Amino acid sequence: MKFVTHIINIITSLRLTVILLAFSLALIFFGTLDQVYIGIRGAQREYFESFFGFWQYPQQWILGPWLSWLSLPVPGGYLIGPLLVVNLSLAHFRYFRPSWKKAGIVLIHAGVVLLLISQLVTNIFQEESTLWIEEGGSSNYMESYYETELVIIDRSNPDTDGVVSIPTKLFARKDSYQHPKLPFRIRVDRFYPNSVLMQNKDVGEASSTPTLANKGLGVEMRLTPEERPKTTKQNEKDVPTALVELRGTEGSLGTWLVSAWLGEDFPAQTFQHAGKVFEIDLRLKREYLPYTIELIDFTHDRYPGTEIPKNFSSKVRLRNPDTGEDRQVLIYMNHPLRYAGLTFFQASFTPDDKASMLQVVRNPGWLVPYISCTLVSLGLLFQFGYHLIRFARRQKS
Amino acid sequence: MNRNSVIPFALLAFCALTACSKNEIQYYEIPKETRNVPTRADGLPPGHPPTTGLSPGITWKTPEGWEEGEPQGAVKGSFHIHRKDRPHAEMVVLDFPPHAVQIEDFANLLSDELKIASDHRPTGTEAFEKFTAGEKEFTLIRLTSETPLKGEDYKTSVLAAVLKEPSRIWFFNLKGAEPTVLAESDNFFEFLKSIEIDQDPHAGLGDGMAMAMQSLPEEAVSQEGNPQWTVPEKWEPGRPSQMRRGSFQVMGENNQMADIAVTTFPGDVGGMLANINRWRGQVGLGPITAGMTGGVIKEMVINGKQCQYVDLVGMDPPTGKIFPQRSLVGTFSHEGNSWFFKMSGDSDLVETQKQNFMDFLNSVRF
Repeated sequence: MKFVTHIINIITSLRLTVILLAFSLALIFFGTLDQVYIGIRGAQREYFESFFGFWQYPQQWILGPWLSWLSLPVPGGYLIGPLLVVNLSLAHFRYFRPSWKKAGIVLIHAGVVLLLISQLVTNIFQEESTLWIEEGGSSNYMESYYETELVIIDRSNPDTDGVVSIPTKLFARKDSYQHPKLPFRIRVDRFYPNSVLMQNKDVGEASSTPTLANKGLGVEMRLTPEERPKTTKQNEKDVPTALVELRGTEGSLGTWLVSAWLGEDFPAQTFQHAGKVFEIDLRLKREYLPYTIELIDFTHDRYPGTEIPKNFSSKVRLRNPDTGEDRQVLIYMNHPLRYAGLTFFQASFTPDDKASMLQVVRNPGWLVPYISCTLVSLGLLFQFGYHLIRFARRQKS
Repeated sequence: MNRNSVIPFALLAFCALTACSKNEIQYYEIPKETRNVPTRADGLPPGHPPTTGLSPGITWKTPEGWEEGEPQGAVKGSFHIHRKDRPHAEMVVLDFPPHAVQIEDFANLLSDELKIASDHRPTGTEAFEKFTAGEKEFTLIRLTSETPLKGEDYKTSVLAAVLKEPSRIWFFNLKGAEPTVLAESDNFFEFLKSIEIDQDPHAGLGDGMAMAMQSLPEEAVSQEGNPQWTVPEKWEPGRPSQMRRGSFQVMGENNQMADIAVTTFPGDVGGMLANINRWRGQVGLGPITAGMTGGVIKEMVINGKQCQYVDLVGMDPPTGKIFPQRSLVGTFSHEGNSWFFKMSGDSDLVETQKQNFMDFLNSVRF
């Protein structure tokens, strides 16, 4: 019983709060240091989305070659965050004595705890995508920043395309797939999470070097993938490639090379089987929307007489055939379009100002930080206001 | 139900919600879509680094005390050699397309580096020893500077081996202070013996010359950090690719095309020498050494900013004819990042567009 009491004392201790806050500072400090070398995504994964991160003395620093063995464990976000929630909540119940005088403190604590929880919810549920539109053009799908998919598209129907999408994330644990909509089995022979494509240029006109693929662009362009280390660095992105064999009941239909390098500028890799036309592709994961967004005009304002950007905005037309909605919206800095659970931010554009990129964010918990901040503000206002009034009264009397 | 027993169920439901929704095979129908036709002359994807050929895979056994570094630029493998009481030495492994460089060229490049007078340089095939390991025959180059190089306490030595394969030339170069190179020569030969080259080109780890200079993916806010520039007339915008900071193309006669890419990377991307050798490899030229960069790089000041400009006219090594590819590259360093403005494409077209490219470069303001 003594032991349990001791543990409870530790968990509810305000010393622990201070220690955890100090660890948070250390976490941000080392995470920021490492971000230079491993990028924001890498730092986020290593430090903030883990229980422990390990900071390594950088090779590039002074005495780096001799001190690079130095590795420092740093408590991660997944450890500090929940501990803080538990500690703050329990400490609150331990020390709190219900009284109107302390109503503000309750609100402040509730706001902070809610903020921590909302960050976890955002971390788990938030999805970010991009949506590119050229002026005069429209789009009805968004693309993931980093996730990719292997798609087999049934092009036989004159009005619609049937898409079977297999996230490449699955390739690590399974390499063979069957879908009821497809008359063949899909086998992923090789998968390169990050790659470049090499062209067999220097091995003669009639290349004797066989390509790994025996159908599609891989053969026509004599392409061979080469693996590259995966990257989380700022300004770099993994570009995956796969060799995919399709097997019908009568045997192999062939092996195709599919790659995120082979984007929209390349001919589709199509083939016929069982009286149908199919296309195979590996691309950034798409999500289709039940509505379209047309870019009417993209504006890039500059300060008069200079090239300094003042503002950039996209005038778009939103058309939803399901609801009959057809309206124009101006999206610009800090004024996103919120529609059907998605938020469309003005994010980027092409140098010639002819195409705009919208960042599309789905965050079911987007309101929670606002609520948290309101709670904390109200709490502070109440608490300080209460003491101020009391102080003023005392002065008066 | 006990209150505590609810917690595991709540956790399970939470995990199920987070784990199962996105990573599943999906089927959906969409309105009919069409797809574009290719636009890039070399047939490679937009943003893809140009390539010079296939590279076979190579493996080796690293001697004790050799610390292996990251492959970078034209360097396929690199090692730092630190020994107690001995100065530092380093070893690099490079590969090139066949015929890109002859052994005498290598020897000359190294002699330049070591500042060896021309009449003391090895010439003729008989000047080079051979070393055989299994079926592989290496040609050895042994050189030592006549005096210690600037800032060095010892003479600098090079022990290099060249291995000619049908599809590649491999270059293994051990360089450092004379006593260290001498002491490491046994390890060097053991290293050569341990080399295994996978002739299956598909098993390759990558072409050093066409090192994956991953073009820059435009992040959500990438345009904000771009410098300003003025795009010359007749340059068409490239596809709104997420892979570059700026992307243009210009068409010439007979479907000739030149591609203009603006990319940026943190740091110096392995140094100017590695960059130049990568670009040289892309147009079929052999590598140069650090001592030769002065003759290749033209230093300019553009709008108050230092710019290193390189013009590389490709050669078809076996015939010596002008290779149809040419690259013009202007490099700026800004706030710890390297900015590359590169035009590459058919040699004739690049020649006619050179002035436009210079105007483009001159318009860059950070």
